[in-house]
Amino acid sequence: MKKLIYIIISLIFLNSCNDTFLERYPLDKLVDKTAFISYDNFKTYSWSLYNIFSDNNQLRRYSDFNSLYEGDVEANYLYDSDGRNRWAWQTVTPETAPGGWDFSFIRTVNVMLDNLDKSEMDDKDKAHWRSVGLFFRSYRYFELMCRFGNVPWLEHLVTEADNDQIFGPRTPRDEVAANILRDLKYAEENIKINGDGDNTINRNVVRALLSRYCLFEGTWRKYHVLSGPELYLQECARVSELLMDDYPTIADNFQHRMSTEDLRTYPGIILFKEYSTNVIMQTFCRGERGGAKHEEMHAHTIERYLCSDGKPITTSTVYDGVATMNDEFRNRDLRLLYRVPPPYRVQRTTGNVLWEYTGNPLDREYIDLMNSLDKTGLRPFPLQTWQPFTIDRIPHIAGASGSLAPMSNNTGYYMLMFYNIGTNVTGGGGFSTTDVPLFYIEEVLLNYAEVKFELGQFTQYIADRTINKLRPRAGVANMVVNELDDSFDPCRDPLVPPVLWEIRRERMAELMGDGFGFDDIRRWKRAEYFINEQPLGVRMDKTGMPPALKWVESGPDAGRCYRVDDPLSQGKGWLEHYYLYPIPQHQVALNPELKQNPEW
Amino acid sequence: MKLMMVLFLVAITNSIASEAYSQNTKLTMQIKDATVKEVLSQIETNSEFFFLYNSKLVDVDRKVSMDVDDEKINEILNDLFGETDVVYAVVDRQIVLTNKANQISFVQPGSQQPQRITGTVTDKEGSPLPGVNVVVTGTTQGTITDIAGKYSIEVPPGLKSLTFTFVGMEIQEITIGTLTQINVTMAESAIGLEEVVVVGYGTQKKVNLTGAVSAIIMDDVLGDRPVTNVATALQGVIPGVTISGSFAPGVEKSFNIRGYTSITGGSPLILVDNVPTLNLNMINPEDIESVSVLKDASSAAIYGARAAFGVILIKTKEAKRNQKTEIKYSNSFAFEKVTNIPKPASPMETVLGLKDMGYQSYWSGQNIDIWLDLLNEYKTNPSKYPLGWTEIEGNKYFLKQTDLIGDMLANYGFKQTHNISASGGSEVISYRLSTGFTDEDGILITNKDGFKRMNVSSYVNADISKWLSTSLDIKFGKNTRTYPNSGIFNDYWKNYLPSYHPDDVLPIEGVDYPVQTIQHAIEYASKQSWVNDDSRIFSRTLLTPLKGLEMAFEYFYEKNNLNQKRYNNYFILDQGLQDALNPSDQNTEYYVNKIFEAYSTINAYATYKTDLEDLHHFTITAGFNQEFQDKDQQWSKNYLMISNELPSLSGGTGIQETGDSFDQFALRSGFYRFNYNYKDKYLLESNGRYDGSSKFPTNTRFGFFPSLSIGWNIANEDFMSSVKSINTLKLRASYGSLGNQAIDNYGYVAAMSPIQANWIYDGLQPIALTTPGLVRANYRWEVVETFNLGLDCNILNSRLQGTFDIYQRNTIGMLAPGMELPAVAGTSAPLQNAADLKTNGWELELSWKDQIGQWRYGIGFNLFDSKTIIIKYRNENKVLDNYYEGMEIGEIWGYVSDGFYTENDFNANGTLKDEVVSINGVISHPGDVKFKNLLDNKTSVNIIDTGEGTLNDPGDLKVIGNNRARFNFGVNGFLNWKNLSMSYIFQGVAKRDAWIGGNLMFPHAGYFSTFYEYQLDYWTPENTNAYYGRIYANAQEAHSVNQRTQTKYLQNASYVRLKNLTIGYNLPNKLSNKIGLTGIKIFFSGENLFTLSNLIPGVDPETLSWNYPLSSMYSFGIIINL
Repeated sequence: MKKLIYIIISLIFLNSCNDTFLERYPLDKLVDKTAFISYDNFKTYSWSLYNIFSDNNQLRRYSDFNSLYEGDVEANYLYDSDGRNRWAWQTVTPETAPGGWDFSFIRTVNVMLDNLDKSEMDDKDKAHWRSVGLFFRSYRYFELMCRFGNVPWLEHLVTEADNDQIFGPRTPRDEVAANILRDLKYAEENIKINGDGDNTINRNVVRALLSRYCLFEGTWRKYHVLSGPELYLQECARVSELLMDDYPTIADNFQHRMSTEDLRTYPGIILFKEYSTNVIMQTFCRGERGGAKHEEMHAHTIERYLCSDGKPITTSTVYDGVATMNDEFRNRDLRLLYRVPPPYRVQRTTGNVLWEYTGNPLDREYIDLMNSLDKTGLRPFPLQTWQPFTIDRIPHIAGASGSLAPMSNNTGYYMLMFYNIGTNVTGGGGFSTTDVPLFYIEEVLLNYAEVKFELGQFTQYIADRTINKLRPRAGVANMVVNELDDSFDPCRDPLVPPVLWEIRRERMAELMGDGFGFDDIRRWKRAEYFINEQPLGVRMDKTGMPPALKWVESGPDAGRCYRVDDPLSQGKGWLEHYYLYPIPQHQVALNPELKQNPEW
Repeated sequence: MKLMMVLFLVAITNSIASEAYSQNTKLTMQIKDATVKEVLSQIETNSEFFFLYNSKLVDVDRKVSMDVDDEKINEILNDLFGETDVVYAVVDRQIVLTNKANQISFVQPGSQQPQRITGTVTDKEGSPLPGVNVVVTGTTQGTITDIAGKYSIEVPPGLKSLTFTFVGMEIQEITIGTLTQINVTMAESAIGLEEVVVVGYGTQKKVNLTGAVSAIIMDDVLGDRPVTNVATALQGVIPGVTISGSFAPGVEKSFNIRGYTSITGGSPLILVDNVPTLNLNMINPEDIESVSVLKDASSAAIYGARAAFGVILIKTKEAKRNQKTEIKYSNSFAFEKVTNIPKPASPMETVLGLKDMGYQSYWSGQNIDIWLDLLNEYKTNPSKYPLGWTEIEGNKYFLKQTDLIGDMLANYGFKQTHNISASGGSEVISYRLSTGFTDEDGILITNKDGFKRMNVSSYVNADISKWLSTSLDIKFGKNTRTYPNSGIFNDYWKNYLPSYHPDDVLPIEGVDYPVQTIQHAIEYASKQSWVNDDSRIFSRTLLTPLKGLEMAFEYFYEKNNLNQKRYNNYFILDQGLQDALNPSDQNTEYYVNKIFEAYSTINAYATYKTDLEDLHHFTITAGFNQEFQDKDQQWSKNYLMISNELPSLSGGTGIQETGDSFDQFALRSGFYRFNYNYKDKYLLESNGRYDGSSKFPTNTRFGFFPSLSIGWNIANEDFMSSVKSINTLKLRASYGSLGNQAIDNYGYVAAMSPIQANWIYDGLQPIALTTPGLVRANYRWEVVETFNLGLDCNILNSRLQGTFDIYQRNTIGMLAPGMELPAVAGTSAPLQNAADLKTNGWELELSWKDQIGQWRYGIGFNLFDSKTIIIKYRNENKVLDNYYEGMEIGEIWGYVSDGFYTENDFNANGTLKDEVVSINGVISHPGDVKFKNLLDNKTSVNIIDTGEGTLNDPGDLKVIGNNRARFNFGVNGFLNWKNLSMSYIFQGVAKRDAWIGGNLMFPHAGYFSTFYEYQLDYWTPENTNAYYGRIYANAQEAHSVNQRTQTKYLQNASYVRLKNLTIGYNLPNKLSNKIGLTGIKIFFSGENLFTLSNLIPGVDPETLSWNYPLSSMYSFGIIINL
């Protein structure tokens, strides 16, 4: 009996040995041994790296319409009239840190880099893919260093055993900066000149990033008094010149960079984010034509735009003064009018769509101008909301009698960049397909102009090759370098030399809305000049205006409306230690070796 | 119907036949000087008549002489007893004699009066037995004996016997005949007939259990409730078991045994007839015989690696041998209604609130003052604005109060169920066949939220030879769950819509469009469906080659196919608050998802029982188990359908998308159980399992999980023999360690999944790969140890029964990320066996049942509690937003509210005075919520902040509550009187904190929000003594800071709910018999009739949210036994 049981049990257990029955592996997933063999394998993996251009850990990104101008809102070039600039009002804390302390993308790139040598590709192909990887890793490290200064440098994939890295201290900025430069130069030399075809990372894209990065790091080092800015400045000048040779022409329509269905055909585009119906679509156009966007430009930013004679408002002979919004916008840099819709008024007849002109020629002055500037008809004035309704006036103040909810704003200078009725905006948000530029020659020209000044080499020749190429399409007279002295703009920031002030002014006007502002004012170490300005709105008739609007009573800004108080009057304002972001408190708690940035 | 007619005719024929014999039979006899006894004997010899009498009452020694010729029996008996006090009764062939003194209790033959039977039930020593079940055989009518063992029962005419049952005693069936008093001596049952419970791979006498096992009989629990899923039926009836999940029709619920399991998750193993089930919703509760819950490690260890957090064993109904055919039909019809609904404040209150927030014009464009004037005007003269809104300067002003939530709910949901089953058995074969149907139309308007299920089940069991029997159980189920799908309008549980939101149509360019309300979204929605069909085949072969040895071989195969279809049909709604049209989905996406799942199991095991000298009893079970799950998913999408009515993959003009996924796991194990029992006093049991699982790397794949438990039944000790009233008093102790494998199937493989890149190349999104995570090749099983102490008692013959268990469950080596890696690692830490936790808890179950006169009643009570602490976790700095050592699971960290800031706290320029506490990064104003400053450090003096965010420096946060449900309880009872029965179940939680937050909690909580009726007491300069803090236009300033988790707004989530109340009535048998049925019962049942809760309206205490709400259900139905 017991024997029988014994036999049965042993039969059963004999059968249950560790055989293939228990070996089960995923049938629909790859592992690194199978994912990194051939050239095409790397190409496949590399597509995931392109996500960085809409990654929420980047200040400049194209993810949703609220993120578009973020860098320029942080810089207080623009402002959200329902909120306050968090730096000016000192509401940033390590607990509510703006974030970005995220190394997952570095890991994603390092997986690819560390698998290159094990692959079956030849050395040239390996070098190409190493270059692509290094480009993306540099792109991310640039942002990390820009925010936090010292950051841990991760040359290779971090494994669990790498405690000295995971729990280690930060790498000094000097080293991080040098590594980024090293990697980008390697990429420049080893990447395939044309990348992997249409709109992929290629040598010019690498150079464009080098130009941007080296200007940043060179000027940061100069103004924050760190060692060796010249190396970066010279590098910027070198690659910028190469790019300028490759992209000799720029487009004659400034605005179409932001409202073209296919940027392939737009001159000067180095890399862009493509959008296409039912493939990937965007929300930017809908955002601007709806009711949820609150970004506006403020009066002091507007005052910094030049007049058509190439002079600032203080010395221009064509400036018509500040009495009305019509006057303010007359004879100005057209790039202002493309970003802030100029004033007009029409009469809606029945419903929210049909309209007719009023009898007053001033009411249609800018309608005619704007419609004549745009040959496509896709940016019509009067403005149309997404529904589409007709906006019967600019300024279009939220809550003023007779105003509509969409496209209204609080103080009058509404910010527009993607306004375009040719692309789909119905259906719940994300249905638009106009492309957006990521790298383009206009930025490189401005990088070059600025870096040449910093190198002491800015001349009329340089101005003509850069700024004076941009101005004709903005309706602004050319820059004449030897006119630029202390009297050219008595209102300039007195700490900035006159020529440099004009170069920076040009950069602001050309790149407004593209999110470079905050990084610019920080590398110039002039953040408090911009951040501490109180955002002011238009001068207009108070009748019918919502009581929430406050009005400046006296001084040069008398008559302007505002919603947000002057931060300095409340004892707030930019603080010196804000030039570096705080490391999130949670991360310092996890690894005290990181050490918080000073004063936070 | 045909069947019933036949039965009816037979009954009539029978009654004619029985009359006929006494009427038609004529006897001839001549007897001289014989005793009455001899005469009677002669009659018995010469006819089919027989006599019943008590010789103490009837003088049978009297001498008589008789000479009758061809006379009827009545005439003969009249002659025989004419002069005496003897009376007689003839029932068919049976003649009962008694005397006149006893005639009162004498039942006249053939009368249609019910017959009252009384008697006493004793054990073999003659002691009365209380609590014995006495049932009229073949009916549901019954009673139990009282404390003196006495009973009294009314037997409908035509019914012939009584059945006496008692735990541990042989069943007795006694023919009534003409008797009015039946005294019964119950004999102890020899084997097996004691209450047995299902345990792993076998059964066990309840009295001999040494582990913590709760068992219920499904019919007792389900009763007449209109409940169609197993989970709902079990809620509140088993101590230690909690059940949670959505209330929407057909959505699966989740089970938990004994509280928090593991930070990696973990739930009980649910087995149906020894095998795991893919889809518990497929099982018709009517097909379930019993449910056992194995709660401690010792009872569950035989299931090893998957049983760490308990096992729920469901046994489906079978059939017995030698049983006449029973056919049962039952139905129920239920009406559902939602009673707990959030109510927004009126339009006037809402707009006044907007004004108080500081809006001069609202985000949708309206000027607040104009709006208030219009609302006042509308109040006095509604006919001026018959549309309920008006337009001024291009802005619509909404005036009419609407009820958007009320409009989306149907007046009544409806649910019907029908079940029919037949079972029976002969000497060698038995069977059970059943069919069930349920159809529910949920509480949303339209019939788009619904659940429909069809079950068919057949069980056949046959003896092939004396030592071989086999059974085959085939179950098929098909269910269809539906829910409205309306593209971008799919959020039906929005809680931010104001009461002035229009609910009808609005014009755009002269055309009226329906407004974007939830009601319209549901009405225009398409019906999304999930169709499951599930087939289960279970074959079981039993061999009994030797005495005491039983070998079982089981093969099981289940196939579940899901076919999901979702279509975003095209329709346009007007946005309502803004003049705009929104299409449901411009691209009209059509989505088909098919999942094919198969599960196969082989079990082979043997049980050997032997006894030594009737003192030592041994049982050994050992076996082998192998399981394999294979899941295969395919999905496809297409867009831009050419027909809005008939969407299909091929009928779309968009870019087709498709994808698939696969998932497999395999398990191979050996298991054993050893029982030793000395004179039913000392009990010992060991269970164990050796498991190998594909979820672990090759080298750490196998694990051995043993357990041991002991029991001492004090009531069986000699010194207790004088204490008759205590039947069982058993102490139990157990210890066991189990594995947990509730983790991803491929957790140790650093896999890279294909994804679409966020980039366009050659016109399409190229395929990229995800970044592989960190993995550890050596991770292995989590170990779960349980210590359990228990006490069972059974007093006064089961009238009072009680169980108490106290336990500690340690979950060791949890496969957690182990720690939180700093962000520098770029990914989360690999799973490793790095964290431990312990749970302490206890369970109490008490029940009492008795009878007073005609009243039978019972009450059961259960209460249980547990608490879990993390005892190991790699978080050296004790960072608070992760687990840390000493953390109690469920703790809520928050600020301590300290009133509001007042004008006195501020300087003239609006800044806070130095001595007043400030909140880091926040600009405060009067009326904002102030918090207590609990901790200062050098950078934070008199400032509210989160410190370093660690346990040592949590800033001004502290633990303000705990969101785990504590002291769960259930109360159930019944009360029967004659044919009426009543039963109820209460269920609740005695202690729980909840942070609700959001729109339902706070006035105008966000940018898009509104006010509810109970949220109007907020701070304004005129109302500084308010409940809520200050609220700001556009949710600016400290608006959200005032809603931070804090003591003042922490909610008490304890509750009591009447889960069920049922009243039933058994039709008198003479009525049911008349139409040829054995019994008819009608019932009324109410589910969730009321809830006592402190929560704000709309928030259910079980789900803590406003989501598919719980409904009250009123049902009635009928049960027919053929």
